[in-house]
Formats: sequence, C-alpha cells, structure tokens
Amino acid sequence: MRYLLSHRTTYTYASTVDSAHHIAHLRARDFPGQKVSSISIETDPTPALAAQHVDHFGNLIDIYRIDKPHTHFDIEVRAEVDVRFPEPPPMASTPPWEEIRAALSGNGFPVPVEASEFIYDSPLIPSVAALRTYGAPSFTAGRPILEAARELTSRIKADFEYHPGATDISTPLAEVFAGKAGVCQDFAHVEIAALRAHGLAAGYVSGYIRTVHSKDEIALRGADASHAWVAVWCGEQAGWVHLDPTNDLVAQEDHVAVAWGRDFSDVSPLRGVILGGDSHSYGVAVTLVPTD
Amino acid sequence: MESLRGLISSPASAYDELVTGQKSIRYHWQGILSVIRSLPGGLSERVESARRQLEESGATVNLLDDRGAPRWAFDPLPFVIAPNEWATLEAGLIQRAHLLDATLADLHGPQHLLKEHLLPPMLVHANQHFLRPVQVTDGKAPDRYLANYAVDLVRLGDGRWYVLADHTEVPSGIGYALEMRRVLARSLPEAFRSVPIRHLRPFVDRWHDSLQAMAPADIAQPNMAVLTPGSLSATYFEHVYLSRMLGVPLVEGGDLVARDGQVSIKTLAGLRPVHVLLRRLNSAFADPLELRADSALGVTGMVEATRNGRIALANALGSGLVETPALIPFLERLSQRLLGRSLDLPSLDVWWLGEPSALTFALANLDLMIVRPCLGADREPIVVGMLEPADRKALEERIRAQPGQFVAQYPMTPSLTPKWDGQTLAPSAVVMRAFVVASGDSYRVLPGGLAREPMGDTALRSLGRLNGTLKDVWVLTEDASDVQVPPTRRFHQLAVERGSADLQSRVADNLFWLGRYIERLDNDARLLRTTAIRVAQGAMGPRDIVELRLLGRLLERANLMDHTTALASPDSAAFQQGLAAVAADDRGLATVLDAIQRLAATMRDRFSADMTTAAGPLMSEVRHRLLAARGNLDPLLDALDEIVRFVATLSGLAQENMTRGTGWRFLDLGRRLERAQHVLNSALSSFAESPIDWEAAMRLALELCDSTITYRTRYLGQLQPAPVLDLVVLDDSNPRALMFQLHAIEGHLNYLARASHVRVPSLPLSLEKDFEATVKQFAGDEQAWRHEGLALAMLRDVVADADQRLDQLSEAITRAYFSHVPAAQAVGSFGGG
Repeated sequence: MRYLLSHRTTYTYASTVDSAHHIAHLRARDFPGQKVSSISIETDPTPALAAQHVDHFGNLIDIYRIDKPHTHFDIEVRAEVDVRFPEPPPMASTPPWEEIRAALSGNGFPVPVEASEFIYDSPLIPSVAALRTYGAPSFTAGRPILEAARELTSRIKADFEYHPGATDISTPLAEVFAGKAGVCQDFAHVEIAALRAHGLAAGYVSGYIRTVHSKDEIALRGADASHAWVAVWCGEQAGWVHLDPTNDLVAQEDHVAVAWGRDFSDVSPLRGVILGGDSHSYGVAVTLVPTD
Repeated sequence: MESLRGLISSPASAYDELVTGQKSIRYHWQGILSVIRSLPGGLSERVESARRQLEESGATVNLLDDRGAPRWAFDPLPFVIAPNEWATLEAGLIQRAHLLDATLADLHGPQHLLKEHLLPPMLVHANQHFLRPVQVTDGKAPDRYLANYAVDLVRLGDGRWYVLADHTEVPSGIGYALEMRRVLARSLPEAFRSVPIRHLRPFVDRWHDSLQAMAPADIAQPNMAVLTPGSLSATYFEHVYLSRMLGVPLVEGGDLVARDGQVSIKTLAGLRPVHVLLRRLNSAFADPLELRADSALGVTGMVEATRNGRIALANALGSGLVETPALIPFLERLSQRLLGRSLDLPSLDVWWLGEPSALTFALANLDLMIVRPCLGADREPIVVGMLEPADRKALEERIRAQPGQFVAQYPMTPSLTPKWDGQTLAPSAVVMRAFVVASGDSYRVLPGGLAREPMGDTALRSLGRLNGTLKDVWVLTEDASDVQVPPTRRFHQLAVERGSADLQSRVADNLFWLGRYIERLDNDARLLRTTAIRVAQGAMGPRDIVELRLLGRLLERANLMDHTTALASPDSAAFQQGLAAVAADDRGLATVLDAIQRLAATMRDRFSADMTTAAGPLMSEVRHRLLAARGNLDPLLDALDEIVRFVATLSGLAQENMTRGTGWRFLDLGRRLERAQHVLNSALSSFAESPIDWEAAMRLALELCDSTITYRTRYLGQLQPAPVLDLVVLDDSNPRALMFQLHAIEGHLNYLARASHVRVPSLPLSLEKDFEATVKQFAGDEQAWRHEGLALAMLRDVVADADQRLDQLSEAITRAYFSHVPAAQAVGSFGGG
C-alpha cells in the first residue's frame, strides 16, 4: 500500500519566544516491510540551525535552533511511503515463548544482542508487579510466542477503554493500569510491560494508522494525530511482529511507522526547550491518504 | 553479629603499612617518623595550625555557611609510599585508564564488546549511565572519553594493591588532595625539607596543558572553563579550587549558550567561545534538550555541540557508564581484547549476579557477603549479615527477581597505617584515592593522592564519598632532582588585558546585588542603632519622643519593625520590646544576611582567599550575636556594632584586594545606588513630614548619614537646614552624601561603557542642578526657611524625582548587562492517539 502522508504541528505562544531548540522524531524511516520513497520537512520560521542525525535505534532525528524572536513554530513533514509489513508466520509455528526468553537472557549473554535491549525497564515502563500478573494467563507453558502475544493484545483491547483525556504522557504506568483506560500509547505501554515482565523483548513503535477504509467500514481507532503500537520479538525466523493493542490486530497495510524505541520517551515526535513564550498551545493535523 | 564484625575488620590478617613481619619500621616511613620525633612542640600544635588553615580555606567547612558541618576530618600524618611500589601502581593505573577509555569508546560506538559476547549487554542497556543520545552514530566521536579519573585502592593482607572502585563520571578529590598538601607543607615544613617527597605542582601544570590540547585542532588559543552544577554542590570547594589552580573561569550551565554548534560564555561584552570544559556536572544534566528534560543546570544544545566536535568535555558525556562494579569481573577479558595485554592491577573479587553460576554462589554465601545494586541510581552497599531477617528476605527476593541488577563481594580488610589520634600514633584502616589524567596519547598519575580512614563498618560503606578522616599521600623519590620543581610549563603568549569585559553576566548580576545588600545591611544596622541608643538611654525627653516616632516609621518601612510597634508610644514597653525583638525576627536583618551569604557563596571564586578567610568568621560572629541578643537591648546594640564593623571590614577588603575591574565596578555600583536611595528615603524622609519638626529632621539626617561629627566640627553644632543639606546632599567630599554616590555611579557607568561597549544612559545633569537650587532656597534667615513652604516643596519634589530616576537606572543596568533571559521551558512531549 502506498500512502501520501502529511503531518503538521503548530505551536502558538502567548508571548514572544526569544529562542528555541527543538528535536523531532518525525522523519519516517525504512523498516522491514516499509520503504520511504520521499520525505521532506519544512519549518516556519526558518531555523538558524537544522541538523539531521541517526539515533541509537536507527531512527532519523532533526534538531532545530531558532534564534530570532517568534510567536509560533510550524513544522510539516510530507512523505510518500510504501507499506506491507510481512505476513506473520502461522502462530503455531512460532517457538514456545520460554525458548525466546531463554535466548534473550542467555545467562548474561543474550541472543540476539539487538533484541535484548528491549527486555529491560525503560524510563516510562518500570516493572509493575500487577502487569506481570495481568499478562501471566496468556503465557501458559510451551505456548507459541505469537499465539501468547496475540492473545495478550486481544485481552488489552477488551479490558481497556479507549478514552482520550483519561491520561496524559506523565500518567505513571501503574495508574494507567489501575484506571484501565487511555489512548494508544497507554495501550502500547501496558502490552510492552506485560511482555517484558515475562522476559520478552518488546519495543514501542510510533507512526500513523489509516482510520477509514471506506464509508461502510468501521473506522479503526486511533487518531487523527499519530498512533503507536508494539513490536514483539518472535525469534530469528519471524523477527519483530507489529501488534496493535488499540485495535487488536497485527499491523500489515494500515500502519505507517515513523520511529521505534523502548517507550514513548525515546521517540517523542517533537519536543523542545524555549526561552520565553509564557504559555503555549499546539495543534496537530495528520492526513494519510492511500494512493493505490 | 559480633563474630561478623570480627571478620570484617580483623586486624590479624591486615597488612601493616608501618611495621614489617620482623617488627621493624619499614624504610620509607623512617624519614617522617624521625621528623615527628624531633619536633620541639610535638605534632599536636602542628595539627591545630593545619586544621585552622583548612577551615579558613573552606575545604573543611562550607565557607560563609555557619550552618554547615565539617565534611571531613584531617590527619596530619601522611600516608607514605615507597618509590618502587609507586612505580608499579602508576603503571597499573595508567593501563586501567587506557582500558576504561577504550571501553567507553567502544560502547559509545561500534559496541564490539557486546557483539563478541565479552561484556553482558545488560551492563550497558540497563545501565542508568548509558545515555543513548550521546552514542556516536554519525557525529564526531570524542578523542578521549576518559580525561580524568579517580580510583579507590586498598592493600590486602597479601601486600598487593587492589582496585576498590573506579570514579569516571565526575572524579572528585584532586582539589582536596592539592589543598591538603599545601596546608601540610605550611604546617610541617621540616618534613618537606628532609623527606624526599614528590611535588604535585608540575602535575597540575601539565594537566592544564593537556586540557588545552583537547581543544579542536584549528583553535590556536583555546578557552577553557570548569563547569560546575553550582554552589550547592557538595564538592563546590573543589570546583572553585580547580578553576583557580588551572587559571580558568568557573561557569554554571546558565553562563553558557550553544549556538551555531559552538558553546560560548555569556559575558558583559557578549558571547565568548569556550572550547574545553572540565566537567563537574553529571552527564545526564548537561542538556535539557536531549538528556534529562528537567535539568536546569545544563546547556540546551550541548549534545549537538559535542557531535560537531566544536567543544571537548573532560570527561566526555556518558563517562559514568564504566563506573559500575559489575564491569569488574569482565575487565580481564576486555583488557585482552582492547589492549592485547593482561590486566596488571587487580580488582577486588566481584560477582555479577546476572550470571547463573555467580548467582548460585552468592545466594549460597549471602550472609557473608556485601551486595550492591550496580546499574540504577542507588548503588549503596548492603552488608547482608547485618540485616534484620525480614529485610534479608526482601533483599533475596529482589536479587532473585532481577539478579543482573546486583553484584556481590566479600568484605575486605584494608591495610593499617599509623594515624595521629591526638596523643600518639595508632593504627587505622586506609583506603587510597589516586588521580589519573590524560596527557597526550597516554595518562599521568598524580604523585600523591588522598588517603582515607573509611567511616562505617566496612570500606565499602563509604565508597565514593569524601568523608571520614583524610590524609595526604606522600610518594617518595630516590631521584633527588625530582624533588626540585622543574619548570615544565610551556608559556603561552597571552594578550595583556585589564578590566576585562569577560566577566560572566551572571557574576556581574550577583556582584551588583551583593553590593546592594551589603549596603542595605549597613543602613539597616545604623537605623536600628540610632533608635536603640535613644531607647537604651532611659528617661526620654519630648525631643527623643518625636525623633523615635520618626525612626519607628522608618523602621517599619525598612521591614525592621511591625506596624503595631511602630505606632506605639516610644516610651512604652511595647515599643522597646518590639525593637529588641528585631534580632530574633526572621524578616529584616536575617533576610539581608541570608541574601549576602547566598550571593557570596555563589561567588567564592571571585574573591581572594584572604577576603573569604576574613569574612567567614565575621559573618558567623554577627549571626551568633544576633541570636544572643534576642529580646535584650544591650546585646542588640553590641550585635549592631558588630554588623557595622563587619560591613566596614568587607568594604576595606574589597577596596584593598579587588582590582578595579568590571567585577568591582558592579559591586560598588550596587552599593552606591543603595546608599543614594538611603539618603533619599531615610535620611531626608523627615523633611517630608507634615508638619515638619525641623530640629528632628536635621538631626536625623546628619545622624543617618553618619555626618554628625563633621557637622559639629564645621558649624559648632548649630543646626540650620542649608549647611545640613549641603553636607548630606551636595558635598561630594562626604562619602555619605548623595552627590558622592551620584558621581561615583557616573564614573562606573562610563567605565563599563568603555569596557563592554554597552552604554547605560547616565542620570541627567539637571538633577544635580535641581538639588543645588533647592539647597539655596534654604539659605535665607530663619524666619524665611521656617515658614517658607516653597523650599520644602522643592526639596520633596527633587527627592522624589531622584529616587524614581535611581529606580529606572537600576532597571536599565539590569537590562543592559545582566541578560536576564526568560526562563527556559520544555514544550512538546504529547503523545499520539
């Protein structure tokens, strides 16, 4: 599926900002099953410095510095992306989850090293005992990993209420879990925590979702803004499989990924430090149009 | 429990630094011991002198903070090391520095060590010190990750030295070691003449050069600075010390700005690039954009500047990664891989519990071991055998849940060295901290260090803390020429500078306010004294009553007396008690004293050692007397006298010890502005009363301007407004008069405009003329000025006008020089749907 993507963010400040630094995880990158054929970012005002780097996770970051006084900051990314995440293998064919866990532990020397980075606590996903308990029923002895993870995904969709405004990014995971409500990043954090509690590797993927297929179909949940889901390591054969707990599905053609990390804090789309400005408001507008 | 204590510090198995197995004194100790034996007054009086010096320099006590307790004690008896032994240690330390530097470079770059299964990835990926934004993906890698490094060492029963801990993030202690050496050299000079001790100064000079050499290659004359988290840091003394020792400015994050991939210091004259920072700020706090967003101590854009290679940090960001004790079991393998050699200097045995065999072993022997969390923020050692059963169980559960988060080791028995216990020499356990700094392609070790008698039950308990009893480390030399201080320093040609505009804006701001507060303290004390003397005299006449009413109102305005008291009759008990209560009050004097203390503490690096040495104890004395005066007038008067003396001492010190550069200008500018407003608002205020009491107004004006005696000499005591006003307003030879202040302000503004090319508009010339014209109005005969409302009205107008202009001037100075940037705030961090 080929998409035309546009994602525009606007900050409006109550008073003049003297100078600002911003760091963006907005530049969609290639993933297995995803190819970015063109991408561009425009900002207003024009920054004095614009630098691009590849981060620790292979994501593309943009760093901006604006020197002159300004009262708004506009950043728009436009991209053309082809997506067809690989069809997941038959669930029963994936290895038992304990086998994956054993490899990722490796008595201190895990295999593969790259996946093992995603088994530890991360800034927004500390160990929460209740989440281990919550996940446990899915991880019965010898169960194929994808079957277990897939069931966990369904349970989260069923047990949690999708409720924008119930949480914000500073709501601790334990509170999100207790409230059983939140938005996509909460659903993703909950699933990641339950997977890691079982010694499995799970990453946080930020991106977009195509919300409407046609008039007749039910819109997928997620948002007009950005979306987030989970990548779970299913062994060398199947690799990372993208699961969307907000919609209870395996990402295939409706998801466009931008970046991934251990949790939201590694891939926050846009953050910055400004001098002045008093209060600020922001607006986000995303369009994701299939061209096929 | 008792048996365990025995195990932990069993002296039986401890190595004796002083005495051999054959009970003879080791050769390298004989020199110092014979010096001590020959001291005429014994060691005790030298101890006292050394203690006093350390206290005065602020090393033992947080200077100007009479609430601070000594952080450590000092033992005058050094720890002595023989030359051959030092050579072995030195080589081992240099090798270890190379190894940790290479490890940091690999882990922040290609991570071969993880891919080749030489190091468990968890030690990196789950390590709080692993800062992913600092990992080099496409930017420039630092040439050196580990530019300075401190190592804690112990000698075990087998006579070998072992590494107890590596300090790589902000390796503290070298400043204390240098200061201790300075003090010891002064209090025990005989020893330095007769014992061949290696000197430390050449090391510091070379350190300066090595730091300079870290600058980007195209910079001919690099600028350096010491980056401190600020005066609240526990090791701030050392930051100030190093900045002086290396001759570079001390800066805080707020003094720096990152622009165009370059980091600069904000100075009066604008931005001045800085190329090398000796970093004493934790990495995680260095950049709120890419690292901890809640850090107010860092520089937005610092990480990006390091990627561009335009600034070198010593140490590089992320250097704390290799501090974890969990690294120790793998160091030998890393050494083989990275250096192609075996590790020369061993570490204490440490088990990383992420390995199942280590976990099994540790759980089986848990009660005999010390356990430490090794990857998070909390790394406090836990002596398992001393835990209550419930806590022990909880610990075991934590270990089983996340074994990789822990290391275990056996308690060790450090060697015993003599210490001076006040009477005689007694054996005490010793841990030594050595310091290593990069030098060219290699490293150099400070030929000395800090020896410490660890506090608590085991040395591990106080790991990484500079507490306990500290002592100097003497490395002896066989090479007599080494004792001479060789002129190793290459001299760089410096541009001759005077009254530099390189002063940081923040420092200028602080000096200006320090000046204002010192003057305010003086004014407040004089106002209180004027009042208290009248009250203390007892029997009040009608004149006293009138003057005290006026003074009561002034005190209330200065926040030194509450409203009810100010309204009470001056001869009432309420007035007297209210006045006496001022010493115990949290407002007024205490606020001003707090402000002075806070500002002075943030600028310790700006004042000479003599100034801080003199001011510290005086400040304590002032506070002490104020406390003692609670509720009593006579001791209050003593305290007020003490304050006036304190301010006079500060003024004298500033006058005699500070160069008349930009810093002094701001300090004095603050004082002059404050004093000018004191004349307008306090001394002349009684002229604004209606109806006016002429006698009282004139007398108070003279008294509050400390000009009574001059007046009496000039006019033999006959009070008339024209001469009174001439003396307190117009006479610019009177340092308390208004014009004296205005002329001084004018001079400072001109100087600053020349130095910084930034000009603040001066006060209008018309102001002086208006005052002259006003005073002239009072020159007529008595009938005229007593009943002429015109002169008084003119006076009130011109006083109000001047006061307003001074307020505006203060604001203009603030805007022009102090670059009050608006507060930084974080934006973004919103999530998706």
